[in-house]
Amino acid sequence: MLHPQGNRILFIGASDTGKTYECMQFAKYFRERKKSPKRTIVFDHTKNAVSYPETIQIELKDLDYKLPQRGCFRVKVDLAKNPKDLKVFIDKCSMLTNSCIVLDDTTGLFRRGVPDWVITFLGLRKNNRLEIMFQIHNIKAASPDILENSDIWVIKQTRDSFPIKDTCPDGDIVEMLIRECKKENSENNYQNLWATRIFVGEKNLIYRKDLSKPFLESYQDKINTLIDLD
Amino acid sequence: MNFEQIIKNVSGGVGLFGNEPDEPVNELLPQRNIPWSGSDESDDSFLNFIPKQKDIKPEISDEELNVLAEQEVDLLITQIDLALAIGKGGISELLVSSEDLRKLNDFKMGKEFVSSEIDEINERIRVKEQFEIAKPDNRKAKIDLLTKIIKADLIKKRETGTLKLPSVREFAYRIVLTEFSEISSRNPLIFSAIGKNIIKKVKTFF
Repeated sequence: MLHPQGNRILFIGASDTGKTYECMQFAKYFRERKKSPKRTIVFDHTKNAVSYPETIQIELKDLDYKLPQRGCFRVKVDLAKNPKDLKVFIDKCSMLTNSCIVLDDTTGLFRRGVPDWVITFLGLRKNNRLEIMFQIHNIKAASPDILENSDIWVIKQTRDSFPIKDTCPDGDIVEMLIRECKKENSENNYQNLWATRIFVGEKNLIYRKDLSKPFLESYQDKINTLIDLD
Repeated sequence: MNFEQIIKNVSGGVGLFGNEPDEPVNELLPQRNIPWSGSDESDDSFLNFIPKQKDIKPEISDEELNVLAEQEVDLLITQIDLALAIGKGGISELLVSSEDLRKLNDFKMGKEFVSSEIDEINERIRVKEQFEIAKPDNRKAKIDLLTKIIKADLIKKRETGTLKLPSVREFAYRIVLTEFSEISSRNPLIFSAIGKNIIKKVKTFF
């Protein structure tokens, strides 16, 4: 289950598995809940406005001021032109409270490793009431630091080959959940590869998404996931 | 790995979103001074949001605001006077040209001329003289009203946080123009002469 103060949530999935959609559903929940709402701020470095239709585009400098409590924003940056904008963004986010920060395509973002200042920022999640969300396509290309620093794993089908690499915490469980997603997708006639599992490492909890239910009811704890495994 | 333990933990508890969130913490960032655009949300302070003057930096005192208003008026009056004087000079030159004056001089020297043409030149000279000495009515009242309008606009901008102090260069430029306004108001004929010269040059060109 979610930590009441703040979480680092990792979304893993290949293209067309609904990774960004799921991520924005979480963001919507944090934004719209009655108690302790959190504004959404998407770091869009992949010119991916289409995937974030509900967002209002803002500039980095807009993060210097208090943003609306239930607002949904997208900071568009061009890292090819301004590579320092990631650090500027993280520095500004360090001053944010009660916010949900979404980093689009984290695999590409931290290809050369995760800098210390990002790790420091992740440490602010509880005191500053931040939800920090990463998106990656697979475990293989993901930075070990990101895997290590994620509390909640939202797992979808990936193109990882097995066994999962050693640097992945709880690799055997993650592998099993990816296998389950593959199996569910292959057995059902979904429009997209929407099968989803959630793994909360610290609590050893696993949630299986019930696609027939509305989002907030889709992650109940009636799990028999592991019983069916080989 | 203890699969049994995992299964035991996950059964019979609450869902992923079952935990009550903790209270939010204080915002660390300042409010923005201008309303957000492109949003239809109404639950927060980003629509029709007008901060108090004390929250806006830099604060601008009444005295400073008066200086800004007076400068603004001086700038406008200078521009208006300049345009009017140049226009007057131009029209004067069109009414009575150098050629007319030469003809009149020749007539006075005893050379022969058709008297009707001389009469017409004299009439135009009379109109021109009246035109040049004519002054706008209630000039002071108009300037006072303009000052009031500009001051009210500046006060409104100050209240909404959109009033900005001019840059150093802009301020220096304003001072120069204000001085210029003082000088020109004492010597309006300078600009009238400029207008005359412009028309003369144009006529020569054609």
